[in-house]
Amino acid sequence: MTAPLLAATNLRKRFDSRGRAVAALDDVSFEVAPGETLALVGPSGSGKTTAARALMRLTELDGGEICFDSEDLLALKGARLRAVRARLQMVFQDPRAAFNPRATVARVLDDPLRIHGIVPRAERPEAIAQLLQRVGLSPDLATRAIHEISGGQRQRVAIARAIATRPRLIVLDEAVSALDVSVRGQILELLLDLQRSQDIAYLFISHDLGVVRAIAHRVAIMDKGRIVETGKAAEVIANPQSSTGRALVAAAPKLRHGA
Amino acid sequence: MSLLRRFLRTPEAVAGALILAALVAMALAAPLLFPRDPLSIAGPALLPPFQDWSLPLGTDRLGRDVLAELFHGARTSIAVGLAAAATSIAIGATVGTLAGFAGGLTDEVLMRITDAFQTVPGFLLALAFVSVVGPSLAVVVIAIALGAWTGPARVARAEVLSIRERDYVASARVIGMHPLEIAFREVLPNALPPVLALSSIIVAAAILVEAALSFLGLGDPNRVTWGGMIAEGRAVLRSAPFLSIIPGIALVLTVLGVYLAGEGFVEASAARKRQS
Repeated sequence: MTAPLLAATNLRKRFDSRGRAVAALDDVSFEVAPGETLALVGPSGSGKTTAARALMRLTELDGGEICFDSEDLLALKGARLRAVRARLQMVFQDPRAAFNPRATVARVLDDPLRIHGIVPRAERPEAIAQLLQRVGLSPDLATRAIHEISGGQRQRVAIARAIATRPRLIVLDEAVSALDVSVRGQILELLLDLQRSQDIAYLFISHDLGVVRAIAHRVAIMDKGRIVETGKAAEVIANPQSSTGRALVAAAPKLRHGA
Repeated sequence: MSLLRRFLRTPEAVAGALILAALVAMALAAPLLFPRDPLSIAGPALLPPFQDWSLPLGTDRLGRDVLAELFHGARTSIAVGLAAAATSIAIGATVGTLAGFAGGLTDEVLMRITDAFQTVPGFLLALAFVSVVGPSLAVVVIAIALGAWTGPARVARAEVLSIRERDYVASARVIGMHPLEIAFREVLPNALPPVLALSSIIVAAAILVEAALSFLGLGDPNRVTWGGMIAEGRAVLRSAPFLSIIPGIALVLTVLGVYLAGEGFVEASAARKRQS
């Protein structure tokens, strides 16, 4: 097996909830290989979003190690952390909340290109148009305000923003959950297509095993801050070993009766 | 445009807007209608109003044209009011955004400084500042802003505290944006509307503080101010009360107009927010 792109080891995080400490992450470890999709699946409150935010350094951990692209992610700060962010991107769940309400599509896509000095200023409009085409949107959309475009279009813009810096790993936090079913399939197609052409690894956070089956190579099932089961996506879904896994499979009836 | 229609539906707001429009017209027309220096002598001293139609509101102790002084005084009041409000909102919004966004020690230090400024009465602060630095229009503006920036700072901080947890701030961090750029480009513009709602109160207060400073002889001596006119008239309050009453009425109407129009605007935009 090749060296993992991302190795998270013994992540720990507790939150205080009404005086009681609740473990959101309790000794969680997982790895993602280059170009691979690992799905973190679990019921709500199982700690999967905390894990995603911790990887992005949006939430500080109580303990553990994260090694990304042979760098100690938790030791980085300031300018060096910001530089690494070009290779580690994230798409948020709610495409209505993920953009500055005053922004235009062009500005959203201009920011990563400018910050990481990827494209000189004069060539950025062309680069923005290419990014929009890459995610299946018309380049004419660039001048529109974010609040003028639909949820599905916004999620495509969010994906365009994430791939602008040519990352090696994208964390997708329930990235298709807020979309309606017809759009969801198109976005999953787009993600698979980007993965094939640019060799991007995904950490795919979801509670929907149907979606996970379609996109993930491997699955890690989380419950109450622990990983209770890991394995190949097809195997775990066909024959879950943990009680949480069985409950999740049972909650997606078409998986049980189909095949 | 529905914002304007809602604004015009409240009679107080319309009254405020009309007063403000008259005030602005006075300020703009002053150099055209009264091109002479308003501080120069125009006729006999202490001429009562409505006696000589070339000097409709009469003259003061030194024979200066009261109507000309009133028009030129409007310029000072508007200039000081707007400049002081803009300065205090700029300072307040910057301090509040930094405190709310940075959190921790920065927040503590900045908010304790804000507390310190808030405990000293704004007028005393302005008085002390002008008497140390010396009276000029710019100093008066800074002196007023010194006492008025704490309100905007608190409102901005509260707003920033809620905005900084939103996903779009997290996504700005994820793409590697510098924290200062996040604070001033992503957070501050979205925190500004409730801060701007304070501006009418600040403008009204600033006009009053300026008048009070001028009344105490700490206004810019080279400009006509309504406060200065009232102070001038005080010496002859028994024999020529109109010299204090006329600028006094102008002051009351102006403050009332600014306040009513500001309230009307806030109400109208709040109603729009509720609808959307």
